[in-house]
Amino acid sequence: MTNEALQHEIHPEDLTLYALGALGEAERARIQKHVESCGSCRLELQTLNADMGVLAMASAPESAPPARVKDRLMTEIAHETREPRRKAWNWSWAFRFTVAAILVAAVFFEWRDTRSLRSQTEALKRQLEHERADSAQARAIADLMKDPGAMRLTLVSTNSRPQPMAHVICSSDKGRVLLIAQNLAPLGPGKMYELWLLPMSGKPVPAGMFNADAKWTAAMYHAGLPEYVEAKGFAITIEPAEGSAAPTTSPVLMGTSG
Amino acid sequence: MRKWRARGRVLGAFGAGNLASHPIPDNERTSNGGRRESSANSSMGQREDDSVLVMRTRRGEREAFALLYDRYSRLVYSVALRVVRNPSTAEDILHDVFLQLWQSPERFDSSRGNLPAWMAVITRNRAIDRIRQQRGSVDPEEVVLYSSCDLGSEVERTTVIERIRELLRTMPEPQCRAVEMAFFEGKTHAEIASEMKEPLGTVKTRIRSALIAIRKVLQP
Repeated sequence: MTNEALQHEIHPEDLTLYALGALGEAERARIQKHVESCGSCRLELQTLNADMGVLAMASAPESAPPARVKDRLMTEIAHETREPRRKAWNWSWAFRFTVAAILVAAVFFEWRDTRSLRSQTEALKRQLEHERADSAQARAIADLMKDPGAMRLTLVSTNSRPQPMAHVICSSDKGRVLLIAQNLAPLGPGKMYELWLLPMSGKPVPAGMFNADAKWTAAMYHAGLPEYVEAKGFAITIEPAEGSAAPTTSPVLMGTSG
Repeated sequence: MRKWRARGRVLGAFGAGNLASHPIPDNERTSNGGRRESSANSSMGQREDDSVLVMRTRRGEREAFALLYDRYSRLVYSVALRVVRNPSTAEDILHDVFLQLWQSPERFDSSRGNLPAWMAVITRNRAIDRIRQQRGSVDPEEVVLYSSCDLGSEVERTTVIERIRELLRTMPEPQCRAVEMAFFEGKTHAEIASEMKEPLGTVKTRIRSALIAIRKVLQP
């Protein structure tokens, strides 16, 4: 990561100070701009945040907060609906009249909007039916793929190298993943394959780096996945050897669960 | 604030005396101060995972939120107090951090980081902004954290913290002081260099190498 940062003309020391918020305004703005477009520096920043978190945890002398803070907090959220709170109304006749006028207008607009909403609802229904059909087809495909009695053949061109292929076995509750790949071209210096866990929601999570050997095969075991993150699939991209915080190239291989 | 800049107190802050008293989450503390497995964490008598509690908090379950508070309020308060040196302000920060967690639990992405470390950094950043009076820093809420170490596990967290403390105990005093000033006092590298009468490059290197040393402890 250090070399990567240097390549980007961002000194790792400056990135550290940026994470700490210990830079002057001009330098902070310069590095912020760079970090927004540099995956490896973003990953380094995220790692620095973890370093800082541990430093804070290890360095803060033990202090118990007063119980009143929890009481206050729990009382506050007990009345909170996660929506802006309503202020107490200070009713006056003029105010009531204004509110009544607004309500009349609201009823009119509501009637008008209802018609629009009906047509939108119909469109959504049609979209839902379409997606249901897609979903049924996806399930049928998945059933076929899982069918132990189905014949499995891989057809390849007779005059070219077989297609790259990778098998991934992942345990989400233990945060472990095993990858075995074949027909994968070895990458030159400075480049590595990076496996990405595609969570059910959110951005891809780095799931380990590897390279293929001279026989165009690869195997990797990675135990550093966040636990209990349900994967909808995996993808492999080519990244700088230091790794990236987010994919920077299109996947060379990708697979999602049925 | 000034008395904390004195050498003796700084070493004390990083040294064995204070570090040995790391916060033990409230719900894991027995009446005599020891640790115990919480039976209040779930109806099954098992410690619910942080990410599960965050997910339940997202659904608006106050019980899950209360469990998170019991688990990490001591940590948040301790970090805040370490920075602001004022119990009342630290209480406000504790309140704000947890209120933020309640109102926007999605800000913590459980797939990318550990909750205690994330909360510690959020708290530290908020506290620094208080003492700087919003001088401008990294957005205290926009913290994304990546670690190969699982700090959500009490056992792993305790082990890592002990190793970090040992590292800090043996760290050269000028390096310790530079980290103290940047991390807990919110000073810029220029201010640190000026106060320590050291070249800027030296200060930068000291701080960087301290964090890298911490990272090595985190790596499996």
